[in-house]
Amino acid sequence: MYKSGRVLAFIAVFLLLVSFPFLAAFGNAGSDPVYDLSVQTSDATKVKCVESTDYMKSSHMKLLQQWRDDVVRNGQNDFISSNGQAIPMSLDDTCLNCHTDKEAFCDSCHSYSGVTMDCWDCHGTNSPDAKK
Amino acid sequence: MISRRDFLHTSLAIGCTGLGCVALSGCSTLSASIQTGQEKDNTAMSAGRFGLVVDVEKYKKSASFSLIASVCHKAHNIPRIPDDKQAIQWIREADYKACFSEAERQHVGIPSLDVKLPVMCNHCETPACVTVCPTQATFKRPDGIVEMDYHRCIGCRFCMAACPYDARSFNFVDPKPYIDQVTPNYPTRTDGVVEKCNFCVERLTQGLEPLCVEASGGSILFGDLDDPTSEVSQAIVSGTVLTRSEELGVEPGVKYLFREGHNND
Ligand code: HEC
Ligand code: HEC
Ligand code: HEC
Repeated sequence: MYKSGRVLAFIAVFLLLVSFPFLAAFGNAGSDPVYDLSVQTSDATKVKCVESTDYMKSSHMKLLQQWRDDVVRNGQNDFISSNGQAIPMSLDDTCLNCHTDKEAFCDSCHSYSGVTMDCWDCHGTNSPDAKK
Repeated sequence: MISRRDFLHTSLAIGCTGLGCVALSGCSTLSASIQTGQEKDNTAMSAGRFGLVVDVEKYKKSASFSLIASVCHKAHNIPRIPDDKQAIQWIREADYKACFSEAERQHVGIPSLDVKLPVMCNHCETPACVTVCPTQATFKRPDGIVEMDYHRCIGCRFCMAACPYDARSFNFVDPKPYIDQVTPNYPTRTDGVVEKCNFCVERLTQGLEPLCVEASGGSILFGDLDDPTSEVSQAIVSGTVLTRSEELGVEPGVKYLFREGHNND
């Protein structure tokens, strides 16, 4: 074969480059996101999220969007959770009241999952780190 | 209280029944049945159309604009930006003569008065800003309040061009560094969105009046313009009322009341 040595070397380098991301991440996949629930478990009212943990894990963004539209566009106040509790719909006053450290809780999981969200441009001014 | 899901199910059921009725008879039954499905919050203020009435003579005597503006700007996290061209204002002062034409001032019997009037978003009956907004970020609520949904605002500023009252401000820069101390229970804004007075909707849901009303020493009234027994409706008929740029036909919800001028007629 014409210049087979060089062709083979090139193929080897090429394969190495292409598979580099997979090799580099080998063994890291599947590790749990490092986020801190940071909820006061001593306070009996704060041990449960507004909905079941599974639901929150999968659908908190949909819930927040619903809250946003209900408050801003439909002029409503309270969210009725599936167990019948009335909860004021507010990102700052409700979610961040329990999940007080948004960087350790929301942001760390988001950066692990590669999620970007712009909510903190306007919300979350309650927390001490708001004034950077 | 019923859950959202139940509410939707009920509405759907009522809606379907309504549609059935429409097919058989006129369509009046539909709107009536939907009305009954609406849930009511007891504590929140509600109205057919919210409006403000500024009692001009009383305002001149007893109100302090700097107090009014400071409570409004503080509660809504409005930045204090030194460059006037980039300033954000939800409420400002305008000269009596700049607000009303010569003929209007003659009409209330007070051709000149040394007073600056508070001006803000008029929450018009036919708001031009709502018509031009390409994303429906600004919209009119059933209670007449023209509200901003900051989540949808793309910063095109059509609304600012359309507003005849100059009631809107654009965030040219990130406002946060210009806020002395952030009030936690109202979100801030970011650069690239338009903002304006919201008649304190976040307070109305708690049954509280707008802050400018609370801070006005009784010279600014707030209530339901559609209800003839409300304080604002009664005030309107107790004197002569002007609205800014009446001739445009947008029907402002902020009215200026002249009691004494009326008596002098
Ligand atoms: C009353 C306190 C409280 C409020 C209010 C609250 N949470 Fe939670 N949240 C919790 C607790 C406690 C957990 C952990 C539950 C568990 O471990 O089973 C949790 C779990 C979660 C999780 C899942 C985390 C995981 O384990 O993977 C998400 C996501 C979440 N919350 C988001 C939110 C959002 C968004 C809001 C506002 C809509 C909110 N929470 C409001 C207390 C609260
Ligand atoms: C267990 C990990 C986890 C935690 C904790 C978490 N999130 Fe998320 N969040 C996600 C994931 C994953 C997505 C992306 C889901 C998707 O795109 O379908 C997401 C998406 C979102 C979005 C939508 C972003 C967008 O515009 O696309 C919002 C808003 C959001 N999260 C808010 C919050 C808030 C507020 C908290 C803290 C109270 C929080 N999240 C905590 C995992 C988490
Ligand atoms: C440009 C600024 C801005 C951004 C960005 C923003 N919001 Fe908001 N949001 C506001 C303002 C201002 C209000 C209050 C509107 C009112 O009551 O008049 C609000 C209200 C809300 C509300 C209802 C009441 C409250 O105080 O929480 C929810 C829920 C909400 N936003 C969720 C979100 C989520 C989720 C995101 C991110 C995906 C987000 N917002 C991004 C400005 C913003």
